[in-house]
Amino acid sequence: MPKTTNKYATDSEFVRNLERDITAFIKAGTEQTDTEDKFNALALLLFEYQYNANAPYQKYCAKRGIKPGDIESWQEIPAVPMSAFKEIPLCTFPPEEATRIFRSSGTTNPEKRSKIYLNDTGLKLLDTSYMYSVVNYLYPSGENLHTLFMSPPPHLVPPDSVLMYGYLKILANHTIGDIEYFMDEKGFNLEALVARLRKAEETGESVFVISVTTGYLHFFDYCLSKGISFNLPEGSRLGDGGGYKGRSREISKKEFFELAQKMTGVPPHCLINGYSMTELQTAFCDNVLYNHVNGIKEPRYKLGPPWTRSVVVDPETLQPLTKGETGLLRHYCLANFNTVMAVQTDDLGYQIKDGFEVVGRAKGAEARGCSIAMDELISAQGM
Amino acid sequence: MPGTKTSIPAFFLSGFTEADIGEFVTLEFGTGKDRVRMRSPVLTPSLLSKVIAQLKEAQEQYLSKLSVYEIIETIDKAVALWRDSAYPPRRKAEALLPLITGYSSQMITQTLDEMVLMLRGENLRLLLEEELGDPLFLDQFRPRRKSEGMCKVYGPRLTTAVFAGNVPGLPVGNIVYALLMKSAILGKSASEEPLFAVLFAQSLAEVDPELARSVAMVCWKGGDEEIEDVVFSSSDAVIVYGGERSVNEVRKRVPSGTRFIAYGHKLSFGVIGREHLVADRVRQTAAQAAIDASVFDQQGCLSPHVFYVEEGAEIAPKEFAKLLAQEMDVFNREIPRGRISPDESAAINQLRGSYEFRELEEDDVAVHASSQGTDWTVIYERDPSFVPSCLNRTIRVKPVKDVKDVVDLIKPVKGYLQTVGAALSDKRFLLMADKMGQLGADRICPLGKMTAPSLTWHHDGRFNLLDLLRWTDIEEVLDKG
Repeated sequence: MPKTTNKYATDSEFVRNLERDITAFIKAGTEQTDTEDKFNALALLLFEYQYNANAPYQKYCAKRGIKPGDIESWQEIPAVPMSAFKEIPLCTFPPEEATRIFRSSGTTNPEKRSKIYLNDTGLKLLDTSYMYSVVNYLYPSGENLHTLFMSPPPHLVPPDSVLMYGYLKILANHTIGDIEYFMDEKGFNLEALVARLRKAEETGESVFVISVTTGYLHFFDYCLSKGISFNLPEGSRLGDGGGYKGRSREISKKEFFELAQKMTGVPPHCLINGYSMTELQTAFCDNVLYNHVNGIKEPRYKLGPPWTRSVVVDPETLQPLTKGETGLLRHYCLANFNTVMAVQTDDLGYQIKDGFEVVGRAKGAEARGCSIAMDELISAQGM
Repeated sequence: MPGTKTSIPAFFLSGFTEADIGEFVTLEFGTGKDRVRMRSPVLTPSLLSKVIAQLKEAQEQYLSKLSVYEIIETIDKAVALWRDSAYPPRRKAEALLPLITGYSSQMITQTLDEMVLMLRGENLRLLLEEELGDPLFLDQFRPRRKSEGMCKVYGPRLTTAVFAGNVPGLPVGNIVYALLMKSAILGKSASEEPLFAVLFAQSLAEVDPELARSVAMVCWKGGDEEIEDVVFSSSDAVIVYGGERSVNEVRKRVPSGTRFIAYGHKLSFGVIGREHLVADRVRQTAAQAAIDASVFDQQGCLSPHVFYVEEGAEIAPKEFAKLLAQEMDVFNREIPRGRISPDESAAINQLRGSYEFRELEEDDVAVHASSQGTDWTVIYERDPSFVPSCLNRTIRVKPVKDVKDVVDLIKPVKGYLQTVGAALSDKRFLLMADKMGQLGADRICPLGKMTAPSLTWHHDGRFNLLDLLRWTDIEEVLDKG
């Protein structure tokens, strides 16, 4: 006897079929075209599942007067603000049954971090989605590279964010030998990284350096202070993500790319900015290397895989903006199987061609004058 | 520079021609057809030295020789010009300030109306009497009030004020205070709002061009050492509005002998007692609370972040939150919330989102929000801990068993306390005032008046004039024998 007759139970036929269809859609890869109908059909089914199996989300939708069957297009699926994941478990099964709980890095307040509950199905979809979403953009010729990761090794700090978990899987599949880590309990091991990059220059074996953007800023400052720069072998690439606001300074994306090229000799088409978040079970990254290899002339932007859609909404009204206008990014992702597929971020960006570009994160409320803003108060209290 | 002739001056430098000034930069506010262009001098140490020399000369040759009552009369006349809604500078302010600051035009109109009332001559006299006893101490040696002997009081020759941009019109108060003390004033406009003080200075010039030569308004980038060294070393007093970081930056650069006054970050809140939560007055209470949380779009340091509402009355705190929401909506129809940045909108939407999800799961939270955009938000939350608001008319209502409980709740932020708005019976109001005074609050006022302090308010617990004044005593009575 099946455990339950609930149509939307995790082991129900409906859910299994949906998982199968979404998995197949993802596995068809990033090259598939004309996916609008397919995406829409699966999105509406996934909404039906999440509406029926995720009680708080159902109430949230009900307040907006939206339920499955009433809507015809994925654009109408209510998006959940990212902050909601900090408050309550948002999943399609009892949270205590989660196989794995991921957390956001919680940059502003470590006490308040988003939590994403995944069961085996959700985890499998996360694996698949990450594997298929950016591989073409990071390794357009299917090549393998030496991976130099400016992050602590997983035995030191187990990955608890979706992007760390996901990227480790991607990198493991395309790394010659083992991933080399350049961070430990004490912080970045910059001397070791310098030595490793020198070795790459000597051997001519290209490397893929991965770091949060601020890690590069830190490294470049170190190199500048020592008068060091590199000319890394052809095919080497730098992957960055997380924003350009360092503890001591903030630079523009353009300035970052110029600096990175100057310091490492890596050309702009091998400087790949990634965009991920724990609330989204898909990674995004720049199209530059892919376009370079495939002879496509296009500006730098992020093209989401076919199982995602990204739109830009007015920060004030949350209504969709027209292409090119800057607003808040909202993502719809079929790999968000166990959680909520429509996520309203506070990342500022704009739509370009079939994709989007990120401008930065909304800074939160900064008081204009003598009144005190939340962040400042928190820092003043030393909390 | 092409186009600069048609743009609006973001400076007031009486007696300086455009040729004297030399180069200008263009400041832009708003977008599209709402774009406002203002021009601001490119300040150099040599230009500023000339400005300062002229301010000091005007102070010495003219301002210091006026009697305090003549000064009051001039200010009163200049302020009175603004009473007329057709007065061209007023029309200009009403047309441009909404575009520059983002505040709604209704908010700007109300601000101007209040300024006109606040800075009337009779209030200026009251302020002087309140702080000095006898305003004529500013003009001549006068017998001391209790002791033997006489004294006279002197203001700074030059006061420099670094303004913040959260509340339009704030610099006007400081210009007036400086003039009352017979001090010239060099104001550094906030980059967010460099217009109003300039228009007001022009009104002073209309009434008394000589007196207006003691006033200068300019803009420079905060932290410009070359400029600030010239300014701060020439000033007898420096007043700064702003966050802790900017205040500390300025403090470091002001010579140790110079009077330095900083108005840093502050926060305010409201307390509502059972006696005001009864059917026949709760509506009025909610309306007053809505005024406090809405004026200046909550950007002022006098604007409340939280209302603590007492339990056990006819109207429960959660119900009060609903009534407050209705009144926030009423207020918003009359005086709409202004334009805010995408960051600010995003912060409000994310905050609403997180509370909305908690509301779905627990009774301890309720969210009331404007139906469109982020115009206003009222959040009821059982957890009583003090949380600063993300502002722009986002207010929390939190229950307390007894208003006395507020004392402990507010302790974590006691270093920042400013105004406490209270709806309490007289006896409890006094008790609360004393508790809050002990914690550092400098103003306890009735609900509905939080953002409208009187001119004699002890801002940050200090005198407005007295802290900047210097006394000279004559101990022996002359020709005694």
